[in-house]
Amino acid sequence: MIKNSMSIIKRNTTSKEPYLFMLPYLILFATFIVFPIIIAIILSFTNFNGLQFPKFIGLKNYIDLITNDDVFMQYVLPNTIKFALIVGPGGYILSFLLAWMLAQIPKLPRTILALLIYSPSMTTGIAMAVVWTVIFNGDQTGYLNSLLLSLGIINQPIQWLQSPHYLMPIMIIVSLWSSMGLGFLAMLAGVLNIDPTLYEAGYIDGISNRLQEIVYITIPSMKPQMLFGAVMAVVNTFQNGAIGVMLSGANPTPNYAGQLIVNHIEDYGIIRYEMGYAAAISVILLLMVYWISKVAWRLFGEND
Amino acid sequence: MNKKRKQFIIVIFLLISTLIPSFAFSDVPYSVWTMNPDGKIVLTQIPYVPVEVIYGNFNNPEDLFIDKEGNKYIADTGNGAISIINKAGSEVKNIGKGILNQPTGLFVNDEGYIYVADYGNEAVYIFDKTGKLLKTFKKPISPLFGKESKFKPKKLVVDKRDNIYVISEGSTNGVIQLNKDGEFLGYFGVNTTNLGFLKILQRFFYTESQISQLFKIVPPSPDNIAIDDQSIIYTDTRDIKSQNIKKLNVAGLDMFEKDKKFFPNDVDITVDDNGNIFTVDDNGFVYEYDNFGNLLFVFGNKSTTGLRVGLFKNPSSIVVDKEGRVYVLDKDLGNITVFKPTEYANEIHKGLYLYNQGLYVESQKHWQNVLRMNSDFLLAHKAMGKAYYKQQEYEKALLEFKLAKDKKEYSNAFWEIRQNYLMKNLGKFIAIFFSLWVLYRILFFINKKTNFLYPLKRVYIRFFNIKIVRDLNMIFKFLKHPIDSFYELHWENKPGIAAATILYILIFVIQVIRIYYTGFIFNDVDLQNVSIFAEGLKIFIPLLLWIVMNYLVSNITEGEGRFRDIYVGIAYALSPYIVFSIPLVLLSNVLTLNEIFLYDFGFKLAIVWSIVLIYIMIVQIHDYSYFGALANIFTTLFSMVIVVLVAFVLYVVWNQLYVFIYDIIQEVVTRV
Repeated sequence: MIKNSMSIIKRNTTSKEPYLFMLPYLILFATFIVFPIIIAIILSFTNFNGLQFPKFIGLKNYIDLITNDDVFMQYVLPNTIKFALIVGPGGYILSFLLAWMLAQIPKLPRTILALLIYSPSMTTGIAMAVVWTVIFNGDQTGYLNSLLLSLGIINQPIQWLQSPHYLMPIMIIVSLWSSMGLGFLAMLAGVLNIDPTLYEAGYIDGISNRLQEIVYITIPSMKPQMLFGAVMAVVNTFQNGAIGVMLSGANPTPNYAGQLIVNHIEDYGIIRYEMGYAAAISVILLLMVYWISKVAWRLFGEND
Repeated sequence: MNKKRKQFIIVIFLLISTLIPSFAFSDVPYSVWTMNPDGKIVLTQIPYVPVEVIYGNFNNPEDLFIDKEGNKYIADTGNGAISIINKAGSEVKNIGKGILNQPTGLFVNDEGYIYVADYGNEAVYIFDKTGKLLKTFKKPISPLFGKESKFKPKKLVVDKRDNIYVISEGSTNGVIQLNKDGEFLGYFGVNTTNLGFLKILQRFFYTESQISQLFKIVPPSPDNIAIDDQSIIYTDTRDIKSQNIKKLNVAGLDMFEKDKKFFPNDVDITVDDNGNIFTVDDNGFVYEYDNFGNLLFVFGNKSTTGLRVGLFKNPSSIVVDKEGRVYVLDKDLGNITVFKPTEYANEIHKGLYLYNQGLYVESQKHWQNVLRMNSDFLLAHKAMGKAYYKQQEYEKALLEFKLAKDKKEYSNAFWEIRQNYLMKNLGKFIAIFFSLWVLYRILFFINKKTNFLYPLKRVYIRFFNIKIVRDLNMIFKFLKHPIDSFYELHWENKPGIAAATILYILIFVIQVIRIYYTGFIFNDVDLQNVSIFAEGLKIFIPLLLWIVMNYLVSNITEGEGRFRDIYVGIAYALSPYIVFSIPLVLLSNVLTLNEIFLYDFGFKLAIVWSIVLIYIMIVQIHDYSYFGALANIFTTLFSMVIVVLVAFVLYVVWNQLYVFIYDIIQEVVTRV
């Protein structure tokens, strides 16, 4: 019997038909993801201005990045780490808590609320224009300024989005607000998917409250969704890089206060046309995302 | 008295005399103070010595002005005239007699026109050099000025375009700005009102009519004014504590940093050619600030008689002339005291002049001289640091900024040093790291095949099987699986008391390390005032109180935890702090202000995590519900406060008892 099943597996692994079925996806994946990454890695070793043929310069881009790029070392890297450390885990914990809370209420309100909470992540660009830039408007007509002025807390309107002091916290708030994305939906599905008999069994075995329920049953039962959520949170965090530029309306952001790696790449690649250098930064970003995802795997992977 | 003893006394006397700073022997009748890098006011060398007193037949003179040629103009308020004394002091002239009633402020522009603010006549007069009245400006008729507003000019200045800035008594809207024809241009540099939290709440909740009944907050009106060569206006408001001195730009906004502190209760303010600000206050102290508002000196004093040169009775005005001499007009004595800057002050002024123009390197030799005279002079270290920084001598700059306690500049210099170091050694680091990694991989691979590292591994395993090591190693388990670990702690006595005691000692050691080895940028502790004993008490008394009170409280509220559980539990609940602190302290030595977030975030994370662990601990070892645990925590905190209060009361009572008994004994001893 065992031998028989082994042979089935063996036959399946040697056959070529599955590849045929995967071909359309593989082609698309290769053209739009794999090749660009490979090309970016190659370009990162060159001096390329977008017009002339790239000139190979070895590791110079990377050496320049670490030793000569003051803006990168002084602002971009610390900003990125700060942003990622707060928005990544913060957004992740928020989406889990919201998903868990939503799972406790009846179906109709749950569906409506889930849609409401999910919507900011889909409409970031529009929401930014109609909600946040109005709230944080720099003159006295901005909601926040108007409120603070009428309360007598401030004497003159604060340029929220142009101030190096406030830009970063605002970016973090906005990012947390819009971090209930795909990861959140997956976690909601995960929480709902848990077999209720597990909880009953848990209570018979001596679980006495909801927190123990979460720690001992909910989280272990939805590990795949937790992992997915974690990876999405990492990706989301680094994707959100555009937020500082969107809010302040300028790249570089005022005094580099909201400059993240993505903005730095844009600054060099699209504004200064130093494609080779920009490629080197993006390779560093890729390595960072890869390394953090690996940590997420470590924490929530199946083999723990 | 034998000879040896005599010699001994002489030696002692000499020793003592060297301990007394040299300026204690100075011949000025006041002491001089400055601010040291710690922000404390300390004694310093004499920057100004009184050289001369100018007398005149003044009656309550309110204002003094010195023009470019050195002629002195005195607003002789009591006599209703302006006195002009020429530079040599040989010739005295009176103008405005009969026109002026109560002149309290005056200003002379570059062409020699004399502007007078007359408080009694409520007018501003302009005279020419000979004393001929040119113009009279009464209260502006512009509706913008306000019908109700009073025009009671006290002081005035005139800028390069002949606009007149008038300080009017009770002018809550700020300085009145008139153009050269006396037309009202607007108010300028208004003070702000400071609403307290209560006022904000009241304003939020009260109705319109309630507010109008309750309070009228009007901003204080500025009391004095000065203008510098670049037509920057300085105002001085007596009765407010913060932002009492303002440096106003064209838009009327204050250019000083918000946190700058000036001494209040000034009577007059003036600015010299380099932008240094001088004020004199009610108590006869003269303050000098540099043009960023940093305190340079405090000197002068008050005396009731006013007989000694250099002391004042009731100062009313201060002026600085081209040569840097300071003139203080005394209202009651009716005289002018002249102070001459010493070499020390001259060096500082020269240094400041160059420093403010960004010529840091050129200013260096002056600062070196200043430091030779006073090695604790804050600005000198700062300026030296900047000079070195500009010359890319970052190591020296670092040292100077450290002496000046300037964390921001220190961070910049340190960044440069670190960057240079990285540039030089990055390749080396990568190579070492990479080869170590390769070595590890190879060893790992060979070990897998031959298992030649087995003896080492056995030692390793045996080491971690020692009870105390195993117990200590459990702190990592408490980080990862707190609920299970506290369960084991209660039911299986897992980590022992000995290990917990070691952890408590470790917490103390960490505190000491934090005090002494945290990088300069992140270290707010003043090492001179640290007592290790006190630091130990600061940690152990709260911990001990918590452990004991928590045991007592939970014992009567059906908690299951034993004393031992709480003792061990608290030690292990603090494991995030124990694990994170040392790396963070080490990290703080290589971080700059740009990366301050990492350090702050690390410590905050460790503390929050520890609090969460304490909470879980309470739940697990006492077998409370989650709300029960919260109640337990608050009861424990409350009982801790009670214990501290009782201890304090006991201390006071015992002290009384001691004093009482001591007094009785004294009484008995002296009377019986």
